[in-house]
Amino acid sequence: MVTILLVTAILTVLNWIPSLMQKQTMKRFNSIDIAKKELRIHRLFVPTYIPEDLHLVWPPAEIYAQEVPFSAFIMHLRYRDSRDIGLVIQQADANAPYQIEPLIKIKTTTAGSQISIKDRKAVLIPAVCDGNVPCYEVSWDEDGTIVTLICKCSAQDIVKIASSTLPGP
Amino acid sequence: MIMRFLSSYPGMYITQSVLHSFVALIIVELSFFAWDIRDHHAKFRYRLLTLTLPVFMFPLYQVITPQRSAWYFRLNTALFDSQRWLELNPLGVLPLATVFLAFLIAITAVFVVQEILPIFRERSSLSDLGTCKGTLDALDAVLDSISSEIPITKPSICIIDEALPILVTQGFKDHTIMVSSHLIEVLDEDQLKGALTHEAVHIMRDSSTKTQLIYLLRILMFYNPVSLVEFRRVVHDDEFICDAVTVSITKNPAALIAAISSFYYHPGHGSQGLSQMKERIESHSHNLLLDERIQKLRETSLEGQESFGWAPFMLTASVILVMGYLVV
Repeated sequence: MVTILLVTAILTVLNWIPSLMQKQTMKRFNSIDIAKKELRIHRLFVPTYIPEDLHLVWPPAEIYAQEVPFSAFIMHLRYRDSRDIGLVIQQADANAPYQIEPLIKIKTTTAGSQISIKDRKAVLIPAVCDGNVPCYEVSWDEDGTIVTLICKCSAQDIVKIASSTLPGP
Repeated sequence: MIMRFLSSYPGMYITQSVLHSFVALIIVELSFFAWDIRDHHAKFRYRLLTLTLPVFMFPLYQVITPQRSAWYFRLNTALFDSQRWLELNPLGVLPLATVFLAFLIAITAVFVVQEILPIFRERSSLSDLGTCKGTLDALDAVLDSISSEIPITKPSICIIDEALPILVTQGFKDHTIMVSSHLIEVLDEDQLKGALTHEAVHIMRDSSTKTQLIYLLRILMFYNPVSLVEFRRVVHDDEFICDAVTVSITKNPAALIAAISSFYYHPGHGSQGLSQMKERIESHSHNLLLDERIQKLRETSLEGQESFGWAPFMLTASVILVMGYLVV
């Protein structure tokens, strides 16, 4: 028992030290505002519309953000009646050396189609996500930031949510 | 580039196997302390955990939880995330990932110099030992009496004309004990019996096969600093175990101590520079092991072998596996 406690304590301290030396690496935030303030993120793609019948809870259940090694912001929205994540909204630097794997795992995809979201060229991909649930992914490049949404919902719903993250009619 | 490699599956295997070895080492050492384990037979088995488990831990965990290496697991579940350290660049000159990789390359170089090159050198030196000069009736009789006490097929004996103390067992199925003429001259009958019994115990324990298997694990973990140290300690433990078994058979620790004492080696002044330093370090480490074996024989010569507790052993292995799961 003492061994377990001791090893756990050593590992926890060792895991904590890098956050003292490098504060802007990936971490969890309690609210979008706190993340915005702490990391000085210039532009955030936050949806202003989520279809009621999707039963997704706003504000996001989990918010993660980082500035180092590249800028990234992630939101996870849960269903009202379960612990499952129904919508993932990610934005990351287009020049990022690697991709941040979304929490909703896409198992299989079919060919994507080019669509227009408020005059932006976006790609809509029909897919099957974890739990064999049909889902959609939509992504576009917004001035050097790749915005990606993955939703266990219909194509129309994900396009509506994606549109609501952008200003204008 | 380096960070990308360390984030790939081979890179994660290398990083995590090193970390898992360190975690296993700490847990095993704490177990020795917690359960007051002093018996080398038990220590040998515990140390095998440090050598064996890290080889299989990463692939096992990946099969159980494929998302274990993803950022979400690292951030929310893991107790220790290596990437947090590897991404650091404290002085803005050299990222820690580069330092870590350079350290592993240095360990690999030590492995090649310490473990691989001696194999080729040993092969040539064994062939340099020359041919067998036959055997002695007295030695044959000693081996007959040892074989009656230990359940082994009587090994053949080979006397080599050599002015250094040499006593080695060769072969995996049919064993041959090679003994130098020098040892026959300096050791009396009881001391020779002690030395030969020690070799016979190695045969009984199948030490050659065990060492080869452990060496195979060592080769797999050629970059791992913990394996570098623990491999030596396991091999040393095997010597301590064979000493203890020998004494329990011969009931004459003094004779074995005297036999071991004849193996002390002090290099001459022939070689110079680096090779002299290397020879001195090697002989010092060799002599230290002899000191420790003699000390151990003096301390425990009259004690019997402690019984092995499987419950603490299994608990230790479980703790290593659980903790390792949380180290990514």
